[in-house]
Amino acid sequence: MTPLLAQFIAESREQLEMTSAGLLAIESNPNDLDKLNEIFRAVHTIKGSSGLFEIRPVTVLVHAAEDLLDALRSQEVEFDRSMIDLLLDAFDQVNQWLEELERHETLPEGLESRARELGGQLRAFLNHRQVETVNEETLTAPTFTELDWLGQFPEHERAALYSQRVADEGPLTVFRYIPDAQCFFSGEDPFYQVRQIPGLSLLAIVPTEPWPSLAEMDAYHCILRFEGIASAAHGELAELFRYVPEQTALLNISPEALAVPVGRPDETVHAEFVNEGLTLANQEDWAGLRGAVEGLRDNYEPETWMASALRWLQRLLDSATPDLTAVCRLLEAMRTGQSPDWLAALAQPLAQTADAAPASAPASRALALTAEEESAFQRIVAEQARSLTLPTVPESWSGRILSIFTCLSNVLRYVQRADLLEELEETRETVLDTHDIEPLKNLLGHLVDAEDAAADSAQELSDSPGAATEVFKAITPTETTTGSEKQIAKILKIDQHKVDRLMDLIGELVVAKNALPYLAQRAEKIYGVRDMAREIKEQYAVINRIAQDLQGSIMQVRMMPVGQVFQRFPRLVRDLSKKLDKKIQLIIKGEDTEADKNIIETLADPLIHILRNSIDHGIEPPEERLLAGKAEEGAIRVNAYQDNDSVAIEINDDGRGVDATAVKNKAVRRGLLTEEQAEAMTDHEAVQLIFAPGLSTAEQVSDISGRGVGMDVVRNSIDRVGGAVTVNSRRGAGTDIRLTLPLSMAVTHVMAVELDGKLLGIPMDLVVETVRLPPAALFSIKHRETFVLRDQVVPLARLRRLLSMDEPATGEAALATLVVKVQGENIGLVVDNFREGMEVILKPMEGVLGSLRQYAGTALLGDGSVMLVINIKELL
Amino acid sequence: MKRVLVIDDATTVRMYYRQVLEAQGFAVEEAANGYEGLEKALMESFDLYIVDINMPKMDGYTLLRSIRQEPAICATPAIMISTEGQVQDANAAYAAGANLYFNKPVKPDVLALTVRMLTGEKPT
Amino acid sequence: MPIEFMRNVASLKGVCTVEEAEPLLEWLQDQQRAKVKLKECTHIHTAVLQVLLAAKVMITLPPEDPDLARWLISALRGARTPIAPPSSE
Repeated sequence: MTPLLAQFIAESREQLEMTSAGLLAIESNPNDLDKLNEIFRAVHTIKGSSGLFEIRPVTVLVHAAEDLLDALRSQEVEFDRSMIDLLLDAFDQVNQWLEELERHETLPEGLESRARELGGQLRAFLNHRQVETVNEETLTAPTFTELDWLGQFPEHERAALYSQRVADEGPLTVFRYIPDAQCFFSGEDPFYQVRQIPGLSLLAIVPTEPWPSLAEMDAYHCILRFEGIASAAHGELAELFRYVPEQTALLNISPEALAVPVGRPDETVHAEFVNEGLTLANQEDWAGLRGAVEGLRDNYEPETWMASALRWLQRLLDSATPDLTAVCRLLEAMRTGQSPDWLAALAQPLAQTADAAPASAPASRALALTAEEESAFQRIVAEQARSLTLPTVPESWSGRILSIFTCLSNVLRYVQRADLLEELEETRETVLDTHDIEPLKNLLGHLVDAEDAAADSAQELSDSPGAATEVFKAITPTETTTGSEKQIAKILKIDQHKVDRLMDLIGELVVAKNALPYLAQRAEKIYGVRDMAREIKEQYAVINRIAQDLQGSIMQVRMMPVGQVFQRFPRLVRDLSKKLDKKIQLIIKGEDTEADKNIIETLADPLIHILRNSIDHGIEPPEERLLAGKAEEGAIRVNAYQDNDSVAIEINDDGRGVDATAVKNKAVRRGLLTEEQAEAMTDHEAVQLIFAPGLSTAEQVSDISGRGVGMDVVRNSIDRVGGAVTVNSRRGAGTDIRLTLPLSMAVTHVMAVELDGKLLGIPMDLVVETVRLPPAALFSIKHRETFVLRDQVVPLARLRRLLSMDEPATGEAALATLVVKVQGENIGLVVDNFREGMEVILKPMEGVLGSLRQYAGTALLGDGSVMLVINIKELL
Repeated sequence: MKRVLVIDDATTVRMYYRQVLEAQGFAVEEAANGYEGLEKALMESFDLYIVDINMPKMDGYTLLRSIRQEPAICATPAIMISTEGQVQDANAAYAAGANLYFNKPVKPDVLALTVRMLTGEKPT
Repeated sequence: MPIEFMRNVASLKGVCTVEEAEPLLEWLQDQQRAKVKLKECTHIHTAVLQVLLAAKVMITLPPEDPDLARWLISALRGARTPIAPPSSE
């Protein structure tokens, strides 16, 4: 099974589970809008993803359920208990199909009717609403979901157009134009517009709804739709319809798309011919295939579908170099009697065609862009023009213009028209300066023409090889191999999952080897073989060393220079300082310092946040700096280095520093501190408060760093990987922030403790010391148990109580107490007994257990048992 | 390496884009809703955004509007992709700031080609 | 006046504008076997075209304007437009 399908099944099951539970909740409380939204979203997600696979029944059924849920949540239909039953049935059905999918990776044929049946029952609830939906759809932008409608034009007309376009290789564009129903009132004449289409070759004028009787007809309500084919480039049509882009669909097609067989269906099975035909085609035995078609043609009445298909096949084969993909597609269509999906064929990259038939690509095609590239280019340019016609708020105006220019410059680079970049750049400046988009509109029109011209000239020149080669060079990309690419090639690129897997295995090895000391103990104590025990211990030492080396090596593989994260800083500083009119110099040191990949990844967001803060709040505007006697240009220094077992990163700025008084005041206002506490606090302590949740120091929320993401987020993400962050402010002279992070997160040191006969782990880095307290040493302050440790009052907590376990009387026995440091404060934690410290691989709690915040995760022990590791911060 | 930020609430859909684009040599980052997307977009630099419409917390339109108003990132091209089967108004996507609009599902070849073009990544 | 109504035949001439649609529709509503003459017509507005299509009206003389004739006649016949003369087939 592909990972994508596996992912889809897993995700959908999860969503379905949520849905079923949610529906039951709705049943008892139909007004729970939040629940309804949640269910709707879950179903919406399944539907969205299902479209990636060939599983129409699932998509169809889920779509119906989604519509009903949508109507429910917008209160368009009234809640009815029977809806819940039906929805549950529908989701059970989807679940069953998922199982089928898991077993066979595909769904059997014929399920769609079942899906439609169930879907129909669901939709029955929103009958009245459906009418509206239909109207809405006719009003929205037309699109092409298939090209079968081309079959409405007589075959001989399409055939004539086909041979003409194959001969002259000119462009073909299909169009569909659905004018606005009210268009007559704004002076539009759609038929006139359509008559202006250059190279109009086939045209159908059809009503968008059944013709009304003359008595009921409204002469000023437009109900016509125009669709057809023009022998012109996409761009020419786009230009013509530029004022009504939302009412038109345009698509560049290749002549093969005209091959839509039409006629009376017949029951004959054609599989044998199709198979034979495919074999001949793949051998490029065109003569053989032509013969086979000839032989078969007389077996069918001319007006049958099959006869029509064979005539089209013949036309495709009449070409000097038949298009293999098109031929195969038409042959496949004969198997089912359905029209070939030419729309999908248009989306196929040339690469596939080229692979299949290297010699068959027409020479002129290879010279210019592929048909797909050409049409993507046209579409991108046309859509930029379209977006220019739409209104926007002033704040977004320059953003839209800039993004359009980025698109255009990228697209031009892609099609190797670097010669146009200069003009583009000039236009950009002009448009931004004058706020007049006319030059941009002209440029867009010009771009379409230019590309057409390039394609045309390529085609015209294709007869003279010398000139053609030049054009080829000018407009097709050339392969370039730079020296640096060659060097990189020597590095082995490994999928990260493989490395992770290796690391998991090594983790298991580390744990497994820990079983050996147990074994040695058992050998000695239970079986009484002391020598054996000693030998096991010796072996253990050897395995232990290898395991440690292995671990070290795999860590090395995962090590990455922190510079990876720093790369984005210069741009950030440049852009932000420009925006804020500040002058800032960024000095980065120690980019080569390495740390584990996961650590580096967690670093990225917090670092950028800190940097934003420094730029926004730290560094003063130039005038203010000059007044304060500082250099006009501020400086931010980022320095990374290895510090024993951790990586330290320091971010210093020479700005105004953090105003400790302001922080205190704010903390008091927010109720984080009492006046007295604030009074007693040193400035240094106060400054640390910027990491407290819900405290943003800047008085005004700025649009740079004040997005509701405070420094508490920084603290949280650093905490999560076992790091620490401190801040030091030099009033008026700058702020220093220091992050320390472990080099790697793979192995966690925990202290094991006993509780109710079971082992629990406590992260070693929190443990300060262990003490055994006589009960007499305890005393209460405000109902809280405390004790004195080296002249310091330490609060006491009992782990059994924290975990809601029974507390048997312990009498006068000393209390095993672990002193742990949580957020800078010592706390005594009473456990049943201490055990050894150990290295474990910590696995986060998953699934249902994921919500148990009081546990940091589980670890597998040497004897095969599982130990829970406590998250003390959550517990206290 | 060109970087693409994919913002969609369906894990499967994000994985699909990732597969298609990574095979083309793009670096792909993911965000599960508009809010997360905006945060990522503001913190890192990307060459293209691919944005779903209907998402929790912040929808695609709001996200695109916010992106187009942020000087540091407003020039980055964006593709908006609607959910399968939903007839959405392409103009709403363009008005919000999209540079290209698709209906889901987008075929791998079309996606790959369009992303290459919009990021100026040369054809392979 | 580009449309002349005579008993059961309406004669359309020159460029028929949107204003013609309503009178034409009213006239057609009262006619049992209406016919239209398009010989001297060069363009008909979409609104007029729509009325003609809805009435499935019969044409006596097609427009002399070849371009208009090509699109109009096929649309009125409910058939599809001919492109150039049929090919070798």
